[in-house]
Amino acid sequence: MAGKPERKRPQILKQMRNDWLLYLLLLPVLAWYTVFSYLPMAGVTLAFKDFSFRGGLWGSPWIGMKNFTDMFGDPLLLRAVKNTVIFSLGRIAFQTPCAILLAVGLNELRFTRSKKAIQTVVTFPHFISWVVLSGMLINLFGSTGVVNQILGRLGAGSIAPITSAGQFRAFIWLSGIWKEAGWDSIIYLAAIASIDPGLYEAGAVDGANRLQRIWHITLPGIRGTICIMLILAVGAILTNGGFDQIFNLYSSPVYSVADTLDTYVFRESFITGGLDYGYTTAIGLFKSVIGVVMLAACNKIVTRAGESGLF
Amino acid sequence: MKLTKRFLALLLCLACLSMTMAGCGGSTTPSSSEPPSKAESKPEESKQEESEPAADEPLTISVGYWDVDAALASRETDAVLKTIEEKFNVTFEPVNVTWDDYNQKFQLWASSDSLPDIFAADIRTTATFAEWANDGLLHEIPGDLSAYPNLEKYLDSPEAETCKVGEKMYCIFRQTYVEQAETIEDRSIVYRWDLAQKAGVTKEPANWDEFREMMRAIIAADPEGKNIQGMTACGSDYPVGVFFTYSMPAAVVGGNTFRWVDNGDGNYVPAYFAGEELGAAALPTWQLVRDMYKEGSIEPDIALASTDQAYNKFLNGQCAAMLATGFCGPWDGMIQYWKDVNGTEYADAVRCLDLMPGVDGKSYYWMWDYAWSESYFSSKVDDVKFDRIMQIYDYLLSGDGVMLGRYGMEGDTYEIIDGKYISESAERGTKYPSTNMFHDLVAWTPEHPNGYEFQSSIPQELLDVSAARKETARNAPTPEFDPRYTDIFISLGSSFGLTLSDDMLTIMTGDQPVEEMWQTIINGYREKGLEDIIQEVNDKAKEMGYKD
Repeated sequence: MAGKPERKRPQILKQMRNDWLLYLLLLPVLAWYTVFSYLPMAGVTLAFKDFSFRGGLWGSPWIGMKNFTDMFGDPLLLRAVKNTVIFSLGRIAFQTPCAILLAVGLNELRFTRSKKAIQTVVTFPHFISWVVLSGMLINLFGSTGVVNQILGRLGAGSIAPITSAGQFRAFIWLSGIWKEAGWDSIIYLAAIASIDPGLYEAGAVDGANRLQRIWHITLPGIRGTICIMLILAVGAILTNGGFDQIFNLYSSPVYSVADTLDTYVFRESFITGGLDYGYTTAIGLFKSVIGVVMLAACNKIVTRAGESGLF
Repeated sequence: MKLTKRFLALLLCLACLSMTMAGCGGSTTPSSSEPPSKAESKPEESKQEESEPAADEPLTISVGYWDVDAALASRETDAVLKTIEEKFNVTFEPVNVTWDDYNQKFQLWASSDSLPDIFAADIRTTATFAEWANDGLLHEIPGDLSAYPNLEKYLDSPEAETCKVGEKMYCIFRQTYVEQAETIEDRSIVYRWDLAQKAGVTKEPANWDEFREMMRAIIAADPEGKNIQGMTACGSDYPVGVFFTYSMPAAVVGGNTFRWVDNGDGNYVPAYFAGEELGAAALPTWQLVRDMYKEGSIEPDIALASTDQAYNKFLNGQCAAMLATGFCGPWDGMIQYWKDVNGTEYADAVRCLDLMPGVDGKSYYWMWDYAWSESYFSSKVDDVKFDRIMQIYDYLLSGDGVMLGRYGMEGDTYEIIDGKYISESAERGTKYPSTNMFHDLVAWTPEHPNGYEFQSSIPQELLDVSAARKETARNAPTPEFDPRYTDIFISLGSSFGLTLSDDMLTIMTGDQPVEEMWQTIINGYREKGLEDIIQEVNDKAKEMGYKD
């Protein structure tokens, strides 16, 4: 057993020699990750420092875990953690099934033209930025917006989903589904495309109706992809707060239910005026550590359940 | 074939790598001091004559300013830019910021020690200013400015005190108003008097109760059938200035710039927390805005308010009142279209709300700084370049500089009418885009030469309303506060800040009792060190002999 790696090493070198062009193509990617992902990690040390402009990254004094103790004593930060988790779980619970349903539905459409047309329509909102979309949504759902005007004409009461703490989260999830479900469905459509058509033919021969074929062939066929997407989503539970979407739609009346880690850090840093890179880096590090733990845990659960995980 | 493919792949890799390197490298740092190429060096002269300033060696000066990219984009055709660059033998290098991101960008550049040579921001009354000055990021403005007479005269103002950290000056204020009373023009509430009359209102409101009554009447009558709403605003933070005058007039400034008042027992607190019990003075204001919001006198979307939407709603009769910048401020964006949209004269249909009396019966206004922002210079600017920058600032404050920088070329983009009035062409900003920067780089309202006055396109009857408001402000009472305590607070370099607008909107739109919500907010400030900072400031004041 001990000799195995020694035999492998020359094999890897040989492979690299043979496929040197492929490895050369890999170089820019590695360079990108080194420059933009690994080198900046030196900045993580700021989480343990009291940043000053004079001292900069290397010269600022060390303060141990103070930024972290401040962090856990900050009630607004804890509220932001709670909101971030709720938004992320909501996305996993509502947006992912919508994307899967959309992909399955599109796959079942017989007419290619209508399939393409619908796919284009549902994918299009993904390409509009939240800055633009938020303006449209505010115009649509504002007190003098089209929706309230229609409701007013119908004699119904007005709604204020953007400024009402009771409705804001649902509004975020629904607008998120509207914008992203089409785009998210692409990966599931690709997974469905890789299912052997022979299985569907065999199902049809055996008398399975359309719903049964979806349930017994399509969904099991994309289970692996769903698991991978789930692992990634759980890993990003604290980082995928949807900053662009929430920042452009929220306001102080809904902070209690809308303020996520990202919006809180941004506001504290640039709007309230108390810019503290050490503190905000500590929050960033906390998010990353939780993300890695969640990702590893979810990966473990999925692999134990017999699916192929990320690693 | 295979070789060709390999060669192409190799080429692709090299291209990718070189692009990566190019992306990582490059000299895009704002404080570039690379030698310019266009002009040749001239022999050094010890002192330049005033009429021929400068130009010993060509210099590049980076400028961080709003939309400066566009302002400096027409170097070939922009005669104003060419004139000023040639006059001082400099090349201006744009470091673009926008109105949305300038604070964030300067903060980031400060942290990476790459601030532009010149930049404008509004931080001089915040702890950030003291921190940057103390950490050596800012160039000191010399005490002796006799070499720059126009600048020296300009800085001979009480406002210059706000530009200092300790005894040293680190920025040049950009004068917005020439006197305190003019700051009333920063806010105004305009309302639809025509609709109010149709709704049966016969008297213009003289206090908040009458204003609320009028708003309720307009909304109930909805004379135009447009489902009219209450008062909108040009920003969600706009109500702060106007409504704070009701019970805490000294608290109108926010962020880190808040004023300090005597709490009655000789202890000084931020005016926002004035009162026998911490924050008690604010309660009437909170109750007023809560009542107005709940009854509809303030529109439901106030938390999402923006200038464009406010103009649109008010212009189209969807809101009965609007809180805007100045009475004539909305001229370009709204008032000039009024007759086309509504078929009436703006001055007939719309009135400006007088200063409303507060709980003590006095009518205060929002007394902000004369200059809302200021120019900074990076500490990386060497003495030669700094001298050149000061010469440029001096020139832009001179008679010639004001006329060239603000109005372009005489006979082309402006004319002098009757030897007194400056008539500006609408093409000035497009023909000479650099005037969009030079116009107010140094000051928003510099003194015009020869007694010239700017001829406004705004009708005189509207300007008269503005003038009358300024006169009202001149006679308005001044709330008591002690600026020395603000100076102490800033010098402590504390990051403690107030979120006035957020607090107001939270209480205004909330459902829990006002007292309860305000107490929760005060507790939040306590957790962020409110009581510690009050103690520190008072201790320091004692140490400095301001109190016993």
